Amino acid sequence: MNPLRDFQRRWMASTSAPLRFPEPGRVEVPVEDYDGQMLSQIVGSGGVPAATRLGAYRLQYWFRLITLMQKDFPLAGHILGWEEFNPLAARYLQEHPPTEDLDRLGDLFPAWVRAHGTSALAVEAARVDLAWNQAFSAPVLRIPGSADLERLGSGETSIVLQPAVRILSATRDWFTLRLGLLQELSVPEGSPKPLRSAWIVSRTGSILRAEPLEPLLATFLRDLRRRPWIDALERLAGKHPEATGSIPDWFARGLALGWWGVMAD
Amino acid sequence: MSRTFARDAVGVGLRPPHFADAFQDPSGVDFFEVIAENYLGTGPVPAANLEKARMLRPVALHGVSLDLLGTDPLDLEHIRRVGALAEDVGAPCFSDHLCWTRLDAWRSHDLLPTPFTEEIADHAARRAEIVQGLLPVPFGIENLSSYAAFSGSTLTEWEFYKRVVDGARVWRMLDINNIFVSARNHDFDPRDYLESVDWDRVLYVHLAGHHIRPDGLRIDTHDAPVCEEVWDLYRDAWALGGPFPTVIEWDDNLPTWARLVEEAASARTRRGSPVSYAARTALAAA
Repeated sequence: MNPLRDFQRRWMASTSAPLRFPEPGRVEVPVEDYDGQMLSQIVGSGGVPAATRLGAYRLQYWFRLITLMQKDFPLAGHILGWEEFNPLAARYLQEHPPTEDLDRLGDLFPAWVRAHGTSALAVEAARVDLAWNQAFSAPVLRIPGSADLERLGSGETSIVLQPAVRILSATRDWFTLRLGLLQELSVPEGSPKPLRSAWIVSRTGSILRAEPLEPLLATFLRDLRRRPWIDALERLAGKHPEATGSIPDWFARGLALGWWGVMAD
Repeated sequence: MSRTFARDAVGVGLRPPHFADAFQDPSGVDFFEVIAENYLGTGPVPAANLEKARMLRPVALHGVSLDLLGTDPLDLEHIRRVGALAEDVGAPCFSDHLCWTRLDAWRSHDLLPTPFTEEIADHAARRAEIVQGLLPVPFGIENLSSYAAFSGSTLTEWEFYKRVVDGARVWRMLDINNIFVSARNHDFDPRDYLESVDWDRVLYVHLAGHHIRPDGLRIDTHDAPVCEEVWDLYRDAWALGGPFPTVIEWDDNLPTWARLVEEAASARTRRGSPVSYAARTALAAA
């Protein structure tokens, strides 16, 4: 094997070896995990031995990733407490190492914590965190103009939900809590007050917002993700004829809040 | 068209928490440097902010994922995208580090060292030459700070760096703080490093703060003001090879925008007068 590549393989194995969390709040860098040949190539000097020098890179690797997870999942961290969150994030990262795009580091985290028996509340918190992150980094479609709106009635429209729009069910008012956490305000310990509802997360410019949705509007918007306007409208009229009168208001509201975009031709 | 900056310009690394204040009042800063990878995605928010930055000041692009010392094939698509971004924003140059970052599917998201040998330097030079060939702007290589030195090294760090830059016929993006951090961690004289620099090939220099661990190891954290010893080294560099553009990097424990601008102002006041490189060379020859 190319000697440089062999060096890099040994380095990777040593610096991505997992940290140990022997008790809450304590982290260990076990040196017995190091590849002996790797260690023998590093010069210890100035009272700093080779293992400590390699350990500096190992700590940097893990701390960078765990810190990113903390930033991406403030609600999950708040619910679990950081002493429980950090080892959990480390285990997740071991199974799902980072790819090129660090914005996608936590994409599988809600499903992973769910599969690993974490409390339902923490799973829900992680889901909301992920929706928020995805809404922030989603691409934007063209905003509908008057010509698009005129075609709406004919059913020939290519108006769809913006990719940034996320609709999710929640049993708590996570969004007020998240804003408080991000602004480093003093927030109460534990979970936020119960508030069973569907929520919509949307973005206008760089501003993200979240608000509760009427159940029928949530159903309609979810349907719009799967099928064209005309089909979604027909299904709504078939199942909930009483709701069709609300559609102009819903549409105007969405227009004001940046829910709608136009698919490129 | 690219927008250049003056040879004695002082810029800052522009980070998202500073956008609002920087866009409102960019005075005191001659140019911005941004992390290219943060603007290569599809998200409209970063693109809109980059557009605002570009309207106010020239924007230099700085990368963290070229993998010059890597053994995976170069990511040519990434380099092309960086080139397109450079054209979009009119960047005067692009720089990335003399390091490796990945291996097969593994991404370190860190800037990793190798032993300093002629073979490895030549390997990196070949890759850097390809990068420059694909880019529409000058390509600068940044020297690394490191916490580990290797028994297999046959060159000093500055010999290694010079061999790569000269071999590829590219530019230096010289990090003064990195020189100092490596010098302290590996017990060499940072002034020996400065003496090896061909200052005409320096695109600009970086200054930043670093952290000293209890065991004495210095870590390049970019989370503090530039320390006095690095300011001293900057002054020496300026006397040796100035004028050159300067960027203050501050990535963690971010200060207010006003404090960052103050740090940029310090660079102007602390460096003194440059002795012209040509004059110094003539003096040395005499």
